[in-house]
Amino acid sequence: MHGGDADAQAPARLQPRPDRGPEPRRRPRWIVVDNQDIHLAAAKAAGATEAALRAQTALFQDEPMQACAPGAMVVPGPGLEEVSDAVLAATEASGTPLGERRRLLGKYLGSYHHAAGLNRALERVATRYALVIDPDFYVVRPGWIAEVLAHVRAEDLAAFGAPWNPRWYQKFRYFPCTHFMVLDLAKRPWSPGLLAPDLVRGGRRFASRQWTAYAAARAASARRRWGVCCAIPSAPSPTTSGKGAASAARATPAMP
Amino acid sequence: MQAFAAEPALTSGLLTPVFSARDGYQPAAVTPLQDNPLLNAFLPDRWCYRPKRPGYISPAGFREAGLPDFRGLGWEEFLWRGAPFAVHVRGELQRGPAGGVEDDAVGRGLDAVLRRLGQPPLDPLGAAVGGGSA
Repeated sequence: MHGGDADAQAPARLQPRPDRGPEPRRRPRWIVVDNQDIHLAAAKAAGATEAALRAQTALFQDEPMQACAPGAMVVPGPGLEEVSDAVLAATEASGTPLGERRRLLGKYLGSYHHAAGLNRALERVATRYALVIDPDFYVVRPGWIAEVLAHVRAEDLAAFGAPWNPRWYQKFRYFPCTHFMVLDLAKRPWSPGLLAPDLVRGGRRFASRQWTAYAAARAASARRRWGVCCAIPSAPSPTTSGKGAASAARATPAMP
Repeated sequence: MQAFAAEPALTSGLLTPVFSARDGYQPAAVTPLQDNPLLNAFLPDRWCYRPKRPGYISPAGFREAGLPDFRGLGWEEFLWRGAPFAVHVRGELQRGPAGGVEDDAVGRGLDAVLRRLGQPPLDPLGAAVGGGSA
């Protein structure tokens, strides 16, 4: 999250600059949200060992994070329970039964937690333009911040960024998503729900059950073939295909 | 977020995602028939799995530009102004294997890009963070 100069002690300075002229050049300041809760919860859910969890926890200590992002402001992310409670309260009037909302929230809590973390960063941005970027989104173009900002100014854009890749066909298209996004906060001032997803609601998202089962079977078959190839130097064992099938079962997306 | 995207007064600009049939859909529940260009030519955009807006998708990515093939790892590539712009590493625990994540693979791939650009290799502690370049 890049928000130019930011001041953690002055959250009241949220109003973006009203003028649309170029800002004076200055070194950008990064705001890093420490969302360790969701990562540790996911690792636990995936069956990580105590040692692996300790190692992952160590990754999130303040000192290494500061070392990885020199000069950045590290903001503690929200807790999972806090986000969960807020989403359930916010969707209470949707008409979707509580049980269904809890089920959907269990599936998409990571997305809401991510958005809540971004909110914590965005509320600290005091500049007109804010750049949101995921830690696994690598820009490989030299000088891209200046170039992108010049483009946003020249084209008078409110938002610029990466859309969902078309492989995620259930997501929205033709608009940037939060993986990488530049926001002009003069055109669209920040509000707490600005980047929140809309996933805890009634209705199912379409995916063909038959084709999903077929694709999973093909993947399992490919894994079995690969497993046999790997096992040839020693001896093929019944567990090879068993492991492949287990992996495929885990790989199969849980359809609503 | 969807409400934000639907605000009619907002103008937006986009990077170009790289996508072709070999990338596959997530969830993997789209038949070849459903992704058939001939059939989709007659359907409105909202009924098509693949977005129809001209120029929205590029089938050619980093590999075609002489860079490492990140899509081969299941990751996502983005272009801007016809040139490689960014890579999104995929492989989240909760969504199944959309792609593989391996620290060495990230470093090797990005260093190859930097070499091509005549830039020094990555500093493992990310000394470039905070500057105007990646």
